[in-house]
Amino acid sequence: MNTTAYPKDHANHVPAAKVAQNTSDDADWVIIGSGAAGAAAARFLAGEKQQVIVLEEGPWRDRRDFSANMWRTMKNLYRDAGTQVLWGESAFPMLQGCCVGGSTLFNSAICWRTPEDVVDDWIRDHGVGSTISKQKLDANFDVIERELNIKPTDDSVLGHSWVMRRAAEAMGLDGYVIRRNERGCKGAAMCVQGCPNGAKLSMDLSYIPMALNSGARIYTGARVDRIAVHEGKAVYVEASLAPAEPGGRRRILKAHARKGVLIAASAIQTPQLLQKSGLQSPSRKVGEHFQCHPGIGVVGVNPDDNYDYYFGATQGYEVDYRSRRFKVETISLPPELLAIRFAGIGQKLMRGILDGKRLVIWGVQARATAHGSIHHRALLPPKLSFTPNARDLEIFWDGVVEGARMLFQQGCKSVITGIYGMPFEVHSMEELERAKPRLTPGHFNAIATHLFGTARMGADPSNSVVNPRFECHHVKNLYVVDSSVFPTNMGVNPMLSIMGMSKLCTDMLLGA
Amino acid sequence: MKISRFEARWIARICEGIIPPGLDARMPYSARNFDYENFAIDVMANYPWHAAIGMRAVMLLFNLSPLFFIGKPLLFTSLKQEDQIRYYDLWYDSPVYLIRQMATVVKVVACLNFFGQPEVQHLVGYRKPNQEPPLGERPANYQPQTSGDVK
Repeated sequence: MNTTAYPKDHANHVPAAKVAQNTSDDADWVIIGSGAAGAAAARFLAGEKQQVIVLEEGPWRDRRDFSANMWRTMKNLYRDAGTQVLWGESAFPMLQGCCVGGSTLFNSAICWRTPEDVVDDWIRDHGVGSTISKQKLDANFDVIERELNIKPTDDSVLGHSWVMRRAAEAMGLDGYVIRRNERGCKGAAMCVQGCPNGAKLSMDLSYIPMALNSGARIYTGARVDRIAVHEGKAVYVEASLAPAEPGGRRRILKAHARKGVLIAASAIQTPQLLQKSGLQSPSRKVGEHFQCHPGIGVVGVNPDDNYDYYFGATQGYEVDYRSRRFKVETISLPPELLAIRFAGIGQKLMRGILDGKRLVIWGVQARATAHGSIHHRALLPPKLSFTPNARDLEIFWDGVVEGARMLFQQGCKSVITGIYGMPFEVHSMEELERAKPRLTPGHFNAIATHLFGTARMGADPSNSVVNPRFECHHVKNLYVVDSSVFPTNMGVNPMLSIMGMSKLCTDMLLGA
Repeated sequence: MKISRFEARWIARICEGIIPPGLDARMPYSARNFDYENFAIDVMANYPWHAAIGMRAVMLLFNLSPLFFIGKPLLFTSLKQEDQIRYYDLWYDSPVYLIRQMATVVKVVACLNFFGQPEVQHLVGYRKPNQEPPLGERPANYQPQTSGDVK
């Protein structure tokens, strides 16, 4: 794979602006979305000489568009300029990509295999064992890990992550160097804005170009409005193409699928697309059972040390507390996001950001148990609902406590939790435990990461949307391949699982 | 969504109250050194309509809030600098979740522009002294100064 060229100049890339009139196209498979799921499906179908069309709502961005400025990044890469929020008893901001490669452009490139206990749960509780097994997934992970150069973060770019690694080793914790899909990471700590060095093998630099080289075509600026069904079968997809100029006319693209339509638009967009196409399942489960991994920050302060917070892999190390449903990860945020997430304002804020080298900032990622829902509304913005339950709040707290324990072990003089009702800083574990407030969702300044379950897979049509072959129970030739189909959340970053599951679907389609 | 110059100006004034001069001797810049008016216009133009309406409402309520909360016919932007910070602190620590969130929205706008400025990013250590700007920030006539490595 050539990671220095600009694949968006590929001849098989059709930007919306180049299509002057309403038009139609056809292929064996039409794939909606070009993130981890769609790109993997395109790569493995096109690689087997299948004709493939990929439809991507956003534009194709590359290093020439990337910036160290976060607002510019949000405009360029993020859906709705980063304003999506899950609403419930509290608000959870949520970031998703809207460009070729989707969120793989600005995630931290973390690649973990699906944990065995998760696969066991899916088989036991949702009856997916006829097609899904740990062995089949592992075989796919072997292929993907080889193709995307997935490996543990190199020691030379662990940077600020060394602090957690030292803590984990000293305390005998279950710590791991994070595995990532990259080649030649220089530790710029800019994953969130898109890798300035082209080192991250995001989908725009890997599986999409591979699919195009195998003959696939990608339309960008193509927002899918409807999936058309005839006699119970998905037959074509209708997309509106972004105007060439602001205020210009949208054109319609009809992409006909000879063999099937694969939806890979994310656990937020996929259910909405099904709903607005009038394809709610008889079980009424489209958009239900939404799950995520809420993320909370915990900050250590050590005036005597220099952690060089802005050097190293954005995320390089984590400690797993799997049985307690959370993990603690290192993370480097750009100054804008750090300032927004940092508790307080005025002098406290300015001093905190200026003393960035004295800070250690970690994220607690919780495997929340609560379920939310996603609903399309015709004239209003979508209704995205999620409220963590009492058990989840205790998991968040547990994560903050364990993060603080490691930070104090590493010599931090104080810890900032950002939890409402607590002192700005605490100086010992005893003070932390004493200061625990009566927790409500509004006490935490959390964001929603990793989204699952809104078109979940299961053998029972009364309790799921797709069958174990990824096909909608109620529409033939319509497949969902993104994390919407995951019956539960997983407690690990899902990118590799999404690609592995997508490949599992394409394996079945090719074998059929 | 388009906003008027007048509206952009008072959003800028609110942000100047959130990041005023003199917060720390090491930071010679404040919000007054940067163009918040055009930033506000750009934010509103790029946000989806519902988020832009929400942002506008929050900014308006925030500016009018002294009227509701201390009963005086004052705007936030007309308060003295020290009162602005003290007042914002009260909002930020309010027992009412929605008020805390409104304060956070104001902080988001102020911080996104301020801490995104290259001068500020250099000062806080984010951009290294010998670092090439990302490709997307280079002017057409840009001449590389270093080997091109980020670090």
